[in-house]
Amino acid sequence: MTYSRLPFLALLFCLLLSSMFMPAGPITVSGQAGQTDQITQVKNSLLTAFKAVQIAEQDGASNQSLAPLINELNQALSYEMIAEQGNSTAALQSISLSNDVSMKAEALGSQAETASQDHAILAYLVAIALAFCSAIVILEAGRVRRFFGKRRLLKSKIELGETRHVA
Amino acid sequence: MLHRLPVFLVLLVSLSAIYTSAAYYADSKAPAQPFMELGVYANSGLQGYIPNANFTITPPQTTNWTITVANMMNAAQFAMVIVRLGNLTTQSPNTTTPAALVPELIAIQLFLGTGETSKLDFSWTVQNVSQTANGVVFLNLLINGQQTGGQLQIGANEGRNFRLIFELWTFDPSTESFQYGFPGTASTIGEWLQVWFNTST
Repeated sequence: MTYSRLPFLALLFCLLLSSMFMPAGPITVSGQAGQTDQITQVKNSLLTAFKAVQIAEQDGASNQSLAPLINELNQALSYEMIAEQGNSTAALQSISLSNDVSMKAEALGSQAETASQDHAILAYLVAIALAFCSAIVILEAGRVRRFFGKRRLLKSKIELGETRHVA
Repeated sequence: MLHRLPVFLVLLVSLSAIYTSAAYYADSKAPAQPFMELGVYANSGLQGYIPNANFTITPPQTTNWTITVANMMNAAQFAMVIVRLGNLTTQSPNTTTPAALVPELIAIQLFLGTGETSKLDFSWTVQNVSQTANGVVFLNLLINGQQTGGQLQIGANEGRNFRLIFELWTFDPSTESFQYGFPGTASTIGEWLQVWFNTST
């Protein structure tokens, strides 16, 4: 019984011994690898923001409303350049600006899409209403003409032509 | 009275078709051919910057130019201007291929809105030159305040006929990478410029 426990105890001892050499606390990546990850994150945020702007544009957002977002994107890009030189504050600023642009672009896109749909619906409704009015006018033109003709006739004074000529 | 309803319906359908077509036409964007423009400008003009011209830079000399990029692509663009240094024998870019074998001095990235023209400062300094025994001159350049990696591998005989090549690249969201030129109707269209200069030793 004692002999059968021996390998198990040896294994346990080895595990305990190896755990002494493991780093305490959370596992950290080296500075350079962490920086590379951050730069990748900055670039991904920039591209996501750029795609959001393009989608907003496709949804009908105007150039004027998107111009401030383009400026912010360029600002985020300049922060990215600084971040590539190892400045993590600039990286965070770039990510923050990019996320801000993404959110604004999505909002602008959905607003523009709704406005564009409303505009199209209104335009087609006006077109159909105009068609309805025009059809009525064309169809009833003869009746209207007769009605006004009758009114004109009723309003006119009856003069005896013979008397006038005689006079 | 019985005949009036079919006549009215025919009129209504016909007029609706005409008016809704007019509404669609009025609501649609006018067709336009998309393009991008790349330009290089200097306050003093660039007339002298041609092959075998007498324009000579005496180091250390700083030259301030402006690069313009215009976006008429009907969509926001992520553009990049790559500046390369070449000499008389350098293979020039064309409408399909960039001058990829020529060393890149600087790559300037920018976002452009639809219909926007951006101006980029391009300040370049020939700090000093070095000449080999057989008369080939190599440059030490500073662009927008940045060192371009010491003496460049491109040299020119007696310092004559160096050229700065400017290429326009655009970001392709489908491949998530920059492509040379801008997307045309069938394929990408390359856009490039070059400016020639000499240096005195």
